[in-house]
Amino acid sequence: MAPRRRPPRRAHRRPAGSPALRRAADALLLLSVGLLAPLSGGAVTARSTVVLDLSSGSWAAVAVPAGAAPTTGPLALPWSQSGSSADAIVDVVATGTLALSGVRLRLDADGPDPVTAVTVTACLGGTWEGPDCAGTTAPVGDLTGTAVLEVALDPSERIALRAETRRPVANRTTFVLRVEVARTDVRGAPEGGD
Amino acid sequence: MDQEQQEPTARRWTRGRRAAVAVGTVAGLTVASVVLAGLTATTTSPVPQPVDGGELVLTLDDVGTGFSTAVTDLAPGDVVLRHVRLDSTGSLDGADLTLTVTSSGDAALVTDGASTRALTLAVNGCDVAWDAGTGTCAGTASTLLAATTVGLLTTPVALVDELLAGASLHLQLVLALPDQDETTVDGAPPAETVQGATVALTYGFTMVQRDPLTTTG
Repeated sequence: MAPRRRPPRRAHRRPAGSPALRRAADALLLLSVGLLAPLSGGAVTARSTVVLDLSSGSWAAVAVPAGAAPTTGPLALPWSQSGSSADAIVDVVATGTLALSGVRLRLDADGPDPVTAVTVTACLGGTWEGPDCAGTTAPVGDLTGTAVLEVALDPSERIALRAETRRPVANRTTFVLRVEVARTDVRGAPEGGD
Repeated sequence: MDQEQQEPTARRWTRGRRAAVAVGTVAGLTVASVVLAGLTATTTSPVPQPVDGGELVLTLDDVGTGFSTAVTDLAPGDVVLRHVRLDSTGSLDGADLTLTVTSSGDAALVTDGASTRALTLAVNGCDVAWDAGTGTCAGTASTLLAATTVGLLTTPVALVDELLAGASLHLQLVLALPDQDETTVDGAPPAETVQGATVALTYGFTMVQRDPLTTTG
């Protein structure tokens, strides 16, 4: 049996095949390169994710009648008249989630009596029983403008205050006590912070 | 068989060979694409040449508290340090490690308004493990990301150019709530407040494989 002859080879022969077939082959090659390039050039990625929950705290305090539950808003002092003088027992309650180093008290008067006629005293570690403090008294002073009550308060903690005036107040003047808490009144406030 | 009879047969054979070569090329390149590393190997040995695709794996582990515990009661001016370690545990070197942070929750903690109020994140690196208890680096520390408002980190930011296979990256994440003054009056915070807000931050660390290599031998 005679050996099978291979077709003669031609040097530098242009590849055979129809133009359409050549274009198809070229397109397939280009497509292949296009598929390969992005995968080998950086499409392989590794990713690791993790979630961290975060919440911010709050700082706040309110004034309420002694023993009352805290509510938002200013408090009109509940005067109790006794002869020529009157007093009002209130609590300041920390209602935020952060501990406080103090609060700022402001007393506004609506009427003929001046604020300077009202003296405020805190009862630390106890409550007021009339004019008597079961704990330690600490003068807050006359609330002209804003006074800082420098008493540490943990969240939900309350401190008892007694406001006193030597003048009759019934139907003459409404005293509204406001409580402000600034960032600097919160634990960990940086030095010089405002 | 004369030349005229041979030529069509040769063209058909060549045409078929081209098609086979094209299809074979596509198949070969596609297989090469599937191999993760894009590695190729050529052999003339009669023994089958094994070709293993590389793996690119990135793992994250807490160092100390890390991300295992939520951050609560953050106040303006507070800084929280958390430490994690990223390990490239695959067989391939990684490159272009990036970080993204997406969030859900109160926008006040994430996006600055008229003033700088939202959380910021900075990332520091250390060539040895961080001391999570003190937040210190006993080796050489470097800043990989300066303090950036968290809301701006939804697009990837580059941390390091490469993380070789088997290597670790020791990261310290510095979360801070910028100091700011807010005065609460009679229990009510101001209209624009960062108080009492919550947010879930999703950290995404991503790296790609190192540049493809052509090897000879």
